[in-house]
Amino acid sequence: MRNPIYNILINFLLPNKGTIQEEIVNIKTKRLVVIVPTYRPTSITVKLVKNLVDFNRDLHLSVLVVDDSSPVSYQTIFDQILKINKSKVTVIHTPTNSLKAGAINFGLSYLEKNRLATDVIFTVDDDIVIKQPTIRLMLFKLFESRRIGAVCSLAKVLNKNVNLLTRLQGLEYNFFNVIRVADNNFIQGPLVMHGMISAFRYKAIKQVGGFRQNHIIEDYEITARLKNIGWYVALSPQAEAFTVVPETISHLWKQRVRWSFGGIQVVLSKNKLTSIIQDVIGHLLFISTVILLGLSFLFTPTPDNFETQKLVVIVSLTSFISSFVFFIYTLNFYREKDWVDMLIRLSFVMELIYSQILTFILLGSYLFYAYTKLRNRLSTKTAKKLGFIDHLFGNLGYSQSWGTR
Amino acid sequence: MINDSSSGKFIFVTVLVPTTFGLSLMVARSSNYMISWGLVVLSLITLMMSLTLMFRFFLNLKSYKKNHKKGFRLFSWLVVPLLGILFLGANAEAAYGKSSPVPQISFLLDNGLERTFAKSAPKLAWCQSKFIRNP
Repeated sequence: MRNPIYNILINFLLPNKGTIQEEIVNIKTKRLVVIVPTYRPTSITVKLVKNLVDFNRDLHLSVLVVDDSSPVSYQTIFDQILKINKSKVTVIHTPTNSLKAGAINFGLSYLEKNRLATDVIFTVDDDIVIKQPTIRLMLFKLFESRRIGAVCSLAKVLNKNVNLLTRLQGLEYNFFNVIRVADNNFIQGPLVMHGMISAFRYKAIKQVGGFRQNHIIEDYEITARLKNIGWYVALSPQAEAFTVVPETISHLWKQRVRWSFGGIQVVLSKNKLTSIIQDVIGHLLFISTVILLGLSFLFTPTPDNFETQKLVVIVSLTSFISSFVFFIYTLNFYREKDWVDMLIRLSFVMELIYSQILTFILLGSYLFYAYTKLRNRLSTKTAKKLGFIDHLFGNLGYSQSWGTR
Repeated sequence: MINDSSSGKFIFVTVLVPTTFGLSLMVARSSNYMISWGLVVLSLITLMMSLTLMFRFFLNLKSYKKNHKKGFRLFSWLVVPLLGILFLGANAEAAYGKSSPVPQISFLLDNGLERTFAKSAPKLAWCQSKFIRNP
């Protein structure tokens, strides 16, 4: 047996063979349940359920809509959902609002209590739009190998033409997809099976005990736990799903603060290195660079250091130019692009500003994480004196009590 | 929701690269020998990470093959010569000095960047004397 470190290093250049096609499975024989956790559903939710049923009439697919204690006024929407197809659509209600992870777990326990046999569980957000072949393409990928425990779709932006911010997010999501393609068969697969739409083997989801409640980003967390027990995950590169992204800076800020802080929590929790390796490398590189840049101001400059300095610039320039050219190339995979998107990418400035905002959010998350750890060690009296820091972080959107609706 | 912006892959490709690029330019003028080498190593790791990601992307590209053959060719034509020029330029200068047969990166650096830094050097020195304590 080869050294695992050797395998990982080789994997940076060559995909592993863990998920190569093993057998042809007839997906029509599989029993599928789509769990749609929803809070204050909209017409998009109704359309989503309708599409799920209509697009997959030849499959054993049922839809379980979990109402996470929406106000009574939303009952009319649930009635509309039930009218779509009473034999295939079920609506259940959680006793209290338990956020997305809690609602999915409620759905899972409903299936268990009612002894409803299931092979695959799909978890979907209630505000997404899918295409006709999305579900079956994901199934093909899921059953490509016995080692694959979860599969996600490509993530695309539904409202990308609203303003500059949504366009920037459209470009960003396109790059997420590119990275997921690159990460297919890289060690145990892409870092996150996103919550927009993912398919899990029922067996795998039961093995990890369902979603973990009270976690800020439950999708990354469950992906890491699946990998911890040996499952591979994958992207289905032709399956598409569209979601609505934040249209204002304040909404985007809150969302990204939650993602970046939740990401740090996952990285620092007890996961195997191989489950989160992409993230670990990124964080280490980022922190090392920031530390080195900080140190450079403390040490005395060395005279006649020009050759080494020039080397820094040459390598950085090469890195920057190659990445930028690749960025431009990835527009080939952005089918929804128009000339404005191309202009934004080519001009580079907008994306640079956008990425620097995200850098600040990440730095804030590091600080907030360190602060919360320190605060937990202090006595109650001292911690109370630090209330103004809590207030400051709170104003910037940092809090430990978020979760996905 | 999807939450990849929290992940390292996003950091090193879209955040770290421009940050390293911009800040290392600044630091390159005033840094310690060891720090500069540290930055060289970090930038090299970043570069390798980006390049291996691109490589893996193209290896997995067969799933897109039908729609995107042209794109792959375009990329090869753009990137390979560009990287070639950059690397050859940097290495040839070391081997041949000023009589290098390929375009010289250092020519650009010596002339363009140095002039820019020459202008900003007094301001940087003032900032350092005011705000940064040297041991």
